[in-house]
Amino acid sequence: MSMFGFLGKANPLRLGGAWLRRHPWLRRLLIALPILLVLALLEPVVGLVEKLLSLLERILGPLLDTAVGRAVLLVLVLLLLAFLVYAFARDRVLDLFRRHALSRHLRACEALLQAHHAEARRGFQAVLRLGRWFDLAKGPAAEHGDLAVDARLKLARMALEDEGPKRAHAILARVPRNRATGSLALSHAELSARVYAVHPGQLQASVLEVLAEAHETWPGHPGVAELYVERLLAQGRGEDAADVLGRTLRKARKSQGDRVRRRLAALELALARAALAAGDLAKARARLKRAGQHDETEELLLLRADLALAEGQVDVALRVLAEVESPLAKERIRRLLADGIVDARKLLASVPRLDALVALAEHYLAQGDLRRAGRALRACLREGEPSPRLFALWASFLAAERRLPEARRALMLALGSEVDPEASKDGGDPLSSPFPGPGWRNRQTR
Amino acid sequence: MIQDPASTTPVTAAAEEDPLGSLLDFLTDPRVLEVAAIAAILTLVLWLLLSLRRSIRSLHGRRQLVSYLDGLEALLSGDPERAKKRLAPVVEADPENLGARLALGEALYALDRPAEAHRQHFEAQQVFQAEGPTMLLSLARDLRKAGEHGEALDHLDRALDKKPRDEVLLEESWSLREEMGRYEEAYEAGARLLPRSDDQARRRRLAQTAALAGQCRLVDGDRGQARRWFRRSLELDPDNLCARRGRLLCEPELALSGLEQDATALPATTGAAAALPAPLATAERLLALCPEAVCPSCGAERELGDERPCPACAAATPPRFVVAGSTAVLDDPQALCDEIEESDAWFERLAARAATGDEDAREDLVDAGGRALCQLLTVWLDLRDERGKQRLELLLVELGTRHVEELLAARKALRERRNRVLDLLAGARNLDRELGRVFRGLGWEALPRFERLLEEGEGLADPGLRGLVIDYFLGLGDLQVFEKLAPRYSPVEIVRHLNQVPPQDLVPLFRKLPEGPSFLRDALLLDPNLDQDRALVEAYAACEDEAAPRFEELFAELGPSRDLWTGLVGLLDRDEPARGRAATLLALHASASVRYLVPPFVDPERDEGTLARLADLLRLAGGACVHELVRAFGSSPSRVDQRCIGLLASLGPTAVPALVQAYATHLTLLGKLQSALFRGRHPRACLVEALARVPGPEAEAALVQLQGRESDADLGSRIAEALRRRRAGT
Repeated sequence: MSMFGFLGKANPLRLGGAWLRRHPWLRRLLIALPILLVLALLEPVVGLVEKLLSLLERILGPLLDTAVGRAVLLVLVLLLLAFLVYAFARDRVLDLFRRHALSRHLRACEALLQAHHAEARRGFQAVLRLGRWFDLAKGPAAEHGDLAVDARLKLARMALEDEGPKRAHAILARVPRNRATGSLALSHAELSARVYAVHPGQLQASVLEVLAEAHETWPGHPGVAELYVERLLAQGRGEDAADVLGRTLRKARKSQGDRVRRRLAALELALARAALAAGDLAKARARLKRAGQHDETEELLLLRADLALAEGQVDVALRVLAEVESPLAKERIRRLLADGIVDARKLLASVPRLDALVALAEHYLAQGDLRRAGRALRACLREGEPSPRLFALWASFLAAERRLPEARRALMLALGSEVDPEASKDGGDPLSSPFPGPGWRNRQTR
Repeated sequence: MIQDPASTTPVTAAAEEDPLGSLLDFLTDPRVLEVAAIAAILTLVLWLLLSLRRSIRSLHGRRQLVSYLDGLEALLSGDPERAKKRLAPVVEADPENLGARLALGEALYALDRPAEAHRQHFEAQQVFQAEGPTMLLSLARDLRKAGEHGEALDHLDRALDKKPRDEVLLEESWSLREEMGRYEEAYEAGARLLPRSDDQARRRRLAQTAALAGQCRLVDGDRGQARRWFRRSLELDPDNLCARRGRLLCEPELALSGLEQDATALPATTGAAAALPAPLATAERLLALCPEAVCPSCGAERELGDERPCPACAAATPPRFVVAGSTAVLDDPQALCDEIEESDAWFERLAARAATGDEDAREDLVDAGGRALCQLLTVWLDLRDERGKQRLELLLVELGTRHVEELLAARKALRERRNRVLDLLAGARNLDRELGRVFRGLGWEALPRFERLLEEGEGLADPGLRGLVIDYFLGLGDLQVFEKLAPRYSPVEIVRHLNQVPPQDLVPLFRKLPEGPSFLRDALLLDPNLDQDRALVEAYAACEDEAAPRFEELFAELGPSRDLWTGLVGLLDRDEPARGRAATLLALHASASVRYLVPPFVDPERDEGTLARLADLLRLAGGACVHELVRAFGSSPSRVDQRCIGLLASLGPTAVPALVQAYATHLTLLGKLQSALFRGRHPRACLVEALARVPGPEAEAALVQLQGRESDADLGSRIAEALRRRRAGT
């Protein structure tokens, strides 16, 4: 065609040019045709062709006459075709099948996302079958990795969810590690960690080894790190666990950083608590400092108070407790009172809150100092919102003072939970008032 | 295919004979079989090719498949951030990639961006026809996280209609309904899950759901249903505090039955409680049913200092107070501390409040008893408001009567604390003098202590205290008891002290003046140094009838004094018998008392009855009262002029000389003071009028006499007019 290229729009082959460019064999035949025509004019050539055809007829004739011969011939034709395909269109055929495998894989993924696990499982198994014959690491999704490995990982995930860790482990064990590359390697590590962490038959050392590998492969994954940390903590290796979480925190993504930071802070707190219990105050202080760098939680503050108390710094402890509005802080206050470490004046000056006042009242009640208990409770009822607990405490006080009718009334109020003074004034039933229980707010806003 | 002509003939013949046999022959013909085999192979190849074509065609139009697969893998392996990063461009480039869209929705949900997740899931459902319970579950979760609980529940219910036994859906339905406060429906969902895995945590959670359902019923007033729910809860978890409390709430008598009787009706919570007396044990057990702390995640009750994860939901969050205001900041913690410890500052604050009339503060002080006395005294002494002072005084008396020892101690402490010089400079009042009022108010309850004090030599060494002892005995108002002072006190000392006492405080004792000689009469009342005539008059007014003569004798012995007369005149305003006694006594000494009778008589505010009584007494004095009455006339007319003129006229002819003398005295006086002449004109005019009203010739003669002397034309004409009228008889 190129020979007529200079003709431009006058080129007679212009219209079919595009079609011929897509079929090179036809193009070659078209080019060879004038040559063959010239050759046909030559007698010897014609004779040679005739001889060749007669030879072919003699060879094929007997074969065509019998059924076996025809079968053999068919096989030979097919083999010839296969040879020709292999010789001239191998890549195209392989690409065809790889595309087919990719298509099945995508359909299976879609089914997986829609929780059609049976369909997804069938699809991934089909991909695995294709993977036996074709190298699915190549093809249009080669950058992602081996589709067969991907399919096996997804099968393992489904098995872990539906059939348990043993089946998942069986599938995962068949994944060739060297073919899991890129994101598949990360996924494999994560899945291995999860499977081994819940597998009932694995040795502790094996689990730790797999978790360590998984953490090494994907240090920024908080889930893997947490599984690893749990195992390390179970073995009493708190320091190692903190190191693991520290590494994870450095590598973790922004959205997951908070979760790791909280976990690390909690772990540091646990270590600080252990150090405090062991009497190693310096270590506890260091751990607390590290925990504080990650997250200023209520537990941190409470532990800081505990440390201050252990160091004999009662004022510091009270200052810290004043920052924590929690039942845990109140419990500590109660202990301080019971141990005689602080007196009422010092406590209320440092923690000027209602819960501290209630703790004080409870302390007096427990000590049998009814007069002060009564005064403190009266102040509680005056200063704060009435609660069943306060009424019950008041009832305890009254019962201790043998003021039984009043105690009975207080107990009724305690049972009736929140008391609506207006309802009481109207002669309403105090027991019909609502509980301060959980979900009440939601119920009211329903 | 080339066929053998020889072989076809028998077949054709056979076929003609038997059509079925010929069909079999045809089918078993090797050539037919060959053709069929070739056709089958070709069909198979064709089908394979078509399948491949169809499969590959589904890839047409797909973009960024590598990103999709990477993103999906990231999502499944727990990295939603990378998943979102990889999947978002895929969905943008290839919006029809349903898988990518669903995966992106899940990634966004995991990243806590429910609105965007919902958008992806919604488009997947509405535009790309993604269906099934999982799709609905995803939508429900997105909506729930975004706070649209109602819509989330709709989706969830639709999903449950399709897969009613799906565990994930049931779990989601349970928790969502709980979050919405629809506990009964939540219980139904939870109950369907229970048979599948009957673990303890799930049972406890279901028990909590049932208990909350019961509480809702209770609030609605349906106690029967509430009781059933609580029973269900306790069947699942007998330790559920919420249900136990609720059950007691349904039957409060059960809860309180131990208060007056025994505490066995309630389940024991602690071993210590069982050893307590029944009422206290009841309260203690009820206390155990009123938790302070709850799990912020599931609302289950928690122990106060429990730092472990929640036993009901395993949440690691620390417990929270049940009542949100439990950590309210106290306004004045030091004041509260003072209150609890009943410190001095607290009592001073209470005293200050009690002075303003605060009954609660007063009750608190009474409740505090003797401990509050020192501060109460301090505040009372420094108080300037008289009403407040009176209130505190009453309180001091009330407390002092019951706590004499503490009162004496408080006085002593206060005396030691107060610096005399500084107090003097600051104008502070004398402590003991002020305290005398309180001591005089103490009642009989305190008598034994004061009697002991009299017996103790040391007790009376303090001069201030000696006076207070007198005050106490004086306050009792009992003569016999008062005479107990006689052995320990000299009359002079008592008299000196009595002179410092307000008269009204002496009356109770004085009114008991006995017959004949007595310590009171002879040692005290007849003492010329006693300056308490007003108290005597008051006692006279208040005494028994038989004692009145004793007082009259006493007055006679004491002789007249200004306080005595003014006191007696003052009694004329009182009721009987004080009025009668005073009138009698004044009548006896009419001449002497005239100068004390006139001032009240000319008082314009006096009522008519008193005026009549005063007029009667003045008439008894006769002319002696003229001079005093004339003094009542001012330089200009007043309201009382006619009252005096009338009284003067009523005296009759006996008063004429005195009237003439008064007229003359005024003239002489005014004659000496020429400049003030016009001021004497009105009194003389009044005298002329009085004379004009006096009947008899003496009065007329006096007028004539005055007419002759008078040089003032105006007065002269008045006298002439008076004479003319008298003569005319008008």
